[in-house]
Amino acid sequence: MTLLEVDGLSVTYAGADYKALNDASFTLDTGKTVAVVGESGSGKSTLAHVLAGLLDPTAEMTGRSLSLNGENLLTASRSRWRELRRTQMSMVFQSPIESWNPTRTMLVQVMGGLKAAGRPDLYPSLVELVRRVGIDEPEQRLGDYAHQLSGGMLQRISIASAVVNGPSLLIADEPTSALDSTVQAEILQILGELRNDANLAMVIISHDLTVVNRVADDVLVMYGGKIVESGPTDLVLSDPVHPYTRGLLDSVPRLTDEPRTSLPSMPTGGIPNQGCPFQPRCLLAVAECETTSPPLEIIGATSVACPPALSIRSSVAAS
Amino acid sequence: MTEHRLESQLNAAASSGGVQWLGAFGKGLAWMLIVVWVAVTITFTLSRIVPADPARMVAGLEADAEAVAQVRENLGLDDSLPVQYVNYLGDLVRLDFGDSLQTQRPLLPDMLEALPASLELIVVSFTMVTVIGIVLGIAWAYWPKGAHTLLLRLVAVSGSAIPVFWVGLIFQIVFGKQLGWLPVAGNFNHAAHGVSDVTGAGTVDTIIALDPGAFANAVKVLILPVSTIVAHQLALTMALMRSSLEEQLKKPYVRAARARGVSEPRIVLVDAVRNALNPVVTMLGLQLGWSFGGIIIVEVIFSWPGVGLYSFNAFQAFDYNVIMAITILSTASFVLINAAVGVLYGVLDPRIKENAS
Amino acid sequence: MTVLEPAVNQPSLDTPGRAWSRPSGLAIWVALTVLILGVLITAPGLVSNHGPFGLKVSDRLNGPSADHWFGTDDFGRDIFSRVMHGTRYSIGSALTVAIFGVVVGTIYGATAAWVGGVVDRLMMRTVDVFLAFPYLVFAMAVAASLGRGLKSTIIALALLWWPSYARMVRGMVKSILNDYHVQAARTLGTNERQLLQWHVIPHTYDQILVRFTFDIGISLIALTGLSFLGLGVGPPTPEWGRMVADSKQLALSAPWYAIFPGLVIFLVVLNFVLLGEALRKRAVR
Repeated sequence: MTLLEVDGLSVTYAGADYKALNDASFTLDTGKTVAVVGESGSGKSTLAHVLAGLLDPTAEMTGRSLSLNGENLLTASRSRWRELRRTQMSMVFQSPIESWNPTRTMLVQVMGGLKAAGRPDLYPSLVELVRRVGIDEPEQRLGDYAHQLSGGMLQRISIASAVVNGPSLLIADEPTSALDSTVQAEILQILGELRNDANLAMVIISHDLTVVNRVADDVLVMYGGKIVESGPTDLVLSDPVHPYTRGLLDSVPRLTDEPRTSLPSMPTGGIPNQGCPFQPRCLLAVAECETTSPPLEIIGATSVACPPALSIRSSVAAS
Repeated sequence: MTEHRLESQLNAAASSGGVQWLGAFGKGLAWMLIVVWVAVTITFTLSRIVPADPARMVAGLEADAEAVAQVRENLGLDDSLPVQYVNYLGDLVRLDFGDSLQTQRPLLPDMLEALPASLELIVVSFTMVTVIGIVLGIAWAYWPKGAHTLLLRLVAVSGSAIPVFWVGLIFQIVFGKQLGWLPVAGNFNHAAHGVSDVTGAGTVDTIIALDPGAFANAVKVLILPVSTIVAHQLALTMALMRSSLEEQLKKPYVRAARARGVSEPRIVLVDAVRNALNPVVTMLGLQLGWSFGGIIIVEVIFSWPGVGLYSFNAFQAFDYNVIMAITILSTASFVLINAAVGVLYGVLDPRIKENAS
Repeated sequence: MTVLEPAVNQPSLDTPGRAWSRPSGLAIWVALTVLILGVLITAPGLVSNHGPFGLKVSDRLNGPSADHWFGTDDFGRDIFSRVMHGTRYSIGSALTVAIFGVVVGTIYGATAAWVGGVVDRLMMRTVDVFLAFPYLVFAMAVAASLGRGLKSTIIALALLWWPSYARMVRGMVKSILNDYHVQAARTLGTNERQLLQWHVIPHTYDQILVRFTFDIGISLIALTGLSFLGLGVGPPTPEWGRMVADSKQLALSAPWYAIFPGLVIFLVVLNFVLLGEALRKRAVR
């Protein structure tokens, strides 16, 4: 069942002359996890903020559709978004220490959210959940201040407080990037478990392909504000079509000594405003790529926004 | 060297968790005393480089050499400088500031008598600056756009540029003389209103006496001087509160709190403001410390019989002892207030308590 | 490995031209400041034919007119010329104090940060002592010892002015010294003097300049306030604060006397405050 539907969403920040998010479209079903992958500036964080209604109020957003459970959110008021964040969706951020007010205890802050949602009765569930995600003595730890806890512990608490009120959607913006690799694995494990238990749909933003591989059912690859490829994780990761995705996967260091091609470096012009954003670095670029923004076209189970790559594929398939 | 010894002694004394904060506090206290001591020394030095001869001044211009010498001996001015210094320090520790050269009486009681009037001014204006400044600063940060910002910006910029003495004078002219609404000089006259002088502060005494009419009068007298002080100090507080809050609102934890569904007013007023108050509290502490010196101009303009006017008159009359005493006391109060602010920090920010070790 | 073909001319995301395209308010305040300094230097030549000291008792206490833009005082002197002439005393003294403060304070603070250790701590404690003195009271004490007059007032204020610079500069230098690019230069073998000259100090200029600008305004207020109380110059000298004091008695009958000199103080200080603000915005960019 479709939980989240995004169609043609574009975002331009105030004072900028390029689109931070360009014509993004995808759907997410209940209980499924989609990972959004990209480098800095690809628009993935913008997408996360849009989905949570936390976009900078001075930014301009346009689109055909943004709906959760069938409810159109393009015109939703701030208070409606707040209501949604209290009940149906939650967000976890990248930097655990910065997500919490340094001068108040964890408990006060988490309960603040719960009280605002009218669910202070969830306290016992919260404690249990905190214990469940791997924190001993949860009540003591909740009474601590943010700087007294490690990044891993803080992130666990963030996740616990995000799911305690039973949302149907969890948005995680680089949830493991600020953590050590061992802790990363644990956090991903927790996310996986929670997803299974509560049929939680998740949108996980990451630049790390290993994260994607572990938890995501589907993946969206973003570049320069556009979704360039999307589809089931195993398919996209094993057989990428878009030149950027290929380059990304080829760049992952491996212990074999296969010869690898790498992504051409970013040219000095930056990301162009017109046409395909990847065009300056693309080996398949043709004239059309400089002028027309490539649409997402379906090929098999995935969608790809690269006419040249698609035509190569279809000619290979045809032969 | 001394600092290290002091430090290790204090640290030895304070071994358990919460008490370590007190250890740092004790260290701060020691430094406070040293600062005050150095200030005393500087003031003492100043008072002894005097070209004029205080003994002659006290003895009178017509007195002969013998009488002057006698006076000098009485005042202790014939002792060698180091001896005078030690004597002076000894007196200070016993809170004996000597006699006023004008009145030949101990000056501390006279100063203390004038203190309540000054405190009345300081307390009222400081409270107003704090409250109005913080409220306006928060409002400015919360509603950063709109016509009101023009007015706020005007106040913020011009406030610090306005010379206190000029604005006081203008107030007197406009509200006092031209419009005749408010009195321009003096403070509340207890005798005229039949109110007993309990604290020396008009507003307090009229409340104690439960006399609303007299209270209104006491307030009326306060309006102009307080407005003068507030006009000058408000700008800084307001601007600082606003910029500090704006900075906090940009921080990640604010967004995270929004994501948790906490309502906007709560995020701003309870969480962000609390963190934003730090630099504002420091500034307010500084301003309060400065106010003891700055009160002089206002009291002179409005003939307000407080410590400021007392000091000014002493200055006019070359009364060195009073000037010295005022310098030492105002410096000491500044140091004290700043130390209190430091303590307040420890209360507001739990991280500091930890780091104090 | 194929070589990338350069992209066709694409507009860069960073448009360097943009930073200076909008004329900032900076220009206005700079111009005004130049004007004020100009008056400072050429004051004697600027005054009207009446001159700042020319008495004309028959003319006393006239309101503003075409002949006397600010009116006349109780001695019949032209207030406007007195204000113009007073620029030297008021702003001149304020500049003296501020310049002394910035020069001494910067050297002191930079040295403290550079040397570090116990010496640094001791130097900063000394700064703390001076910062504790309220300027008005201190100026009174100094004036009582060294005699009244502009000299002792300036000395008193200068002594209290440099400590805050020292604190600020020391803080800045300390954090710059810890900056990566300084460490990097060190590992490259740059000697200490070059380090200081080329890597550390240039980063402080901007902030010091901003602070200095604000400071001129602050010291002007302090100075005129002291003159108002009688601690600065003596009677016939047309210093602005003193003029306000002189006007106090006549506030009712000659309000222009009370208004104009003070208004000039306000506007001049305002100019420096706004100049400082504009400089600060520029420094942040």
